[in-house]
Amino acid sequence: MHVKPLRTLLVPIATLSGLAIALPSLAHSTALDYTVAPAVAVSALYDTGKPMVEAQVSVFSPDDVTTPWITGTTDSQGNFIFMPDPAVTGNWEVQVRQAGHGEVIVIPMATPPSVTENLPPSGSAETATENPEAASAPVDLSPSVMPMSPQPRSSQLSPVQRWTMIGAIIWGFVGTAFFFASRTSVSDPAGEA
Amino acid sequence: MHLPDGLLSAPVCLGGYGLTGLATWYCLRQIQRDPDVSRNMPKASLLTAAFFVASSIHIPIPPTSVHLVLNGLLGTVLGYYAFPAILIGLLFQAVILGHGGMTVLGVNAVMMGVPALVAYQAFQLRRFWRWGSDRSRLGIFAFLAGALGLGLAALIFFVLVMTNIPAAMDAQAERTAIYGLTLAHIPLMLIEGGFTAMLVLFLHQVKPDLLGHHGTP
Repeated sequence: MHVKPLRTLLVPIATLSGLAIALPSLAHSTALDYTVAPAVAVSALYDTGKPMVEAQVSVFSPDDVTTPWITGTTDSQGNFIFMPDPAVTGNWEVQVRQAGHGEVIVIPMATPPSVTENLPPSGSAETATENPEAASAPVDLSPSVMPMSPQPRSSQLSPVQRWTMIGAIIWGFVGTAFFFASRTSVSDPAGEA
Repeated sequence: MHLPDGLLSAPVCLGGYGLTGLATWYCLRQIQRDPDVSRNMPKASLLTAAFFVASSIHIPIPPTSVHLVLNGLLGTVLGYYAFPAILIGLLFQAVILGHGGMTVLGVNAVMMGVPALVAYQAFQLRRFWRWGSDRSRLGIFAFLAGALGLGLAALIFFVLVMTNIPAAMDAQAERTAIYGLTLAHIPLMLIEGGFTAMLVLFLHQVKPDLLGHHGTP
């Protein structure tokens, strides 16, 4: 069977061309873009080390400390990332709360800020770390990953220091008990009630 | 169960300090009338240390975990000494452990200290109970007092946090979390009640006079 190749090809080409003209809405064109901007990563943990999962977060800009600039929830690791407005400098406040426990952390955003600090455990027993990175005028236009390095604040006590202080306080209470017990035994050598 | 800084408004924090001042003055006045201050002070000091450490002892109660409070135990065993003991313990907890905070120290002291005083009065009710032996009465009322102290503290915590949810927050999600945490304190009430009963029975067996004077009622 002899087949004319030109006629054979013309039919499907014409059909496909017609479809392309008649149904432009079926096309899947995409446009990707990106912006490199300073971000703040907050990590919320209980003092047990357990992350505050799905804790509610309210971010307050320096311009308005009553109405949240943005709200959200922490992820399964207790992390929350937001991009503050680089034009608004000053103290940004981040409040993390869950079941009456929480913390308010103040993040100073200057031009250009480069601050890394940890909050000590709080009452309720949680810690938060933030790592704001800002670029007043981003020159590097390539996408970058902002590191989250939970470096402890210089004022935070090390575990050894902390437990030494706890031990000293307990010994203070025990010493007080011994002091009054000795006074009692001296004043009442017979041990009578 | 400590309320953290930044959760309550300034008037509530000031009110807490006012009530704490009043309660501390009243308790110190009762302690001053106690003829056996030197005898009770070692017990108060040791239990303050226990209270200080207790908040670091976490008990997993799925899906959350709670820590020991021992305010009911302190109230049962120390009487009027319990409030200043709890106040001092909370101060050290806030400064060293970061549990609670300085602005809410007064509120936390009222939240844990006043129920301790209520627990002490509840423990004294054993004298009006005529059924059972002395030992069984002691054990039962110590258990009830220990559990009551923690239960009242949890109730005050519940009311405070439920009435201080910021408007910008998802109130329903926060309420659900608060319900869960409050319910987790029910098993803890049983644990602390049992612990209080064991300590009281131990003191009754070893040195009964330690369960005597706790300031003038």
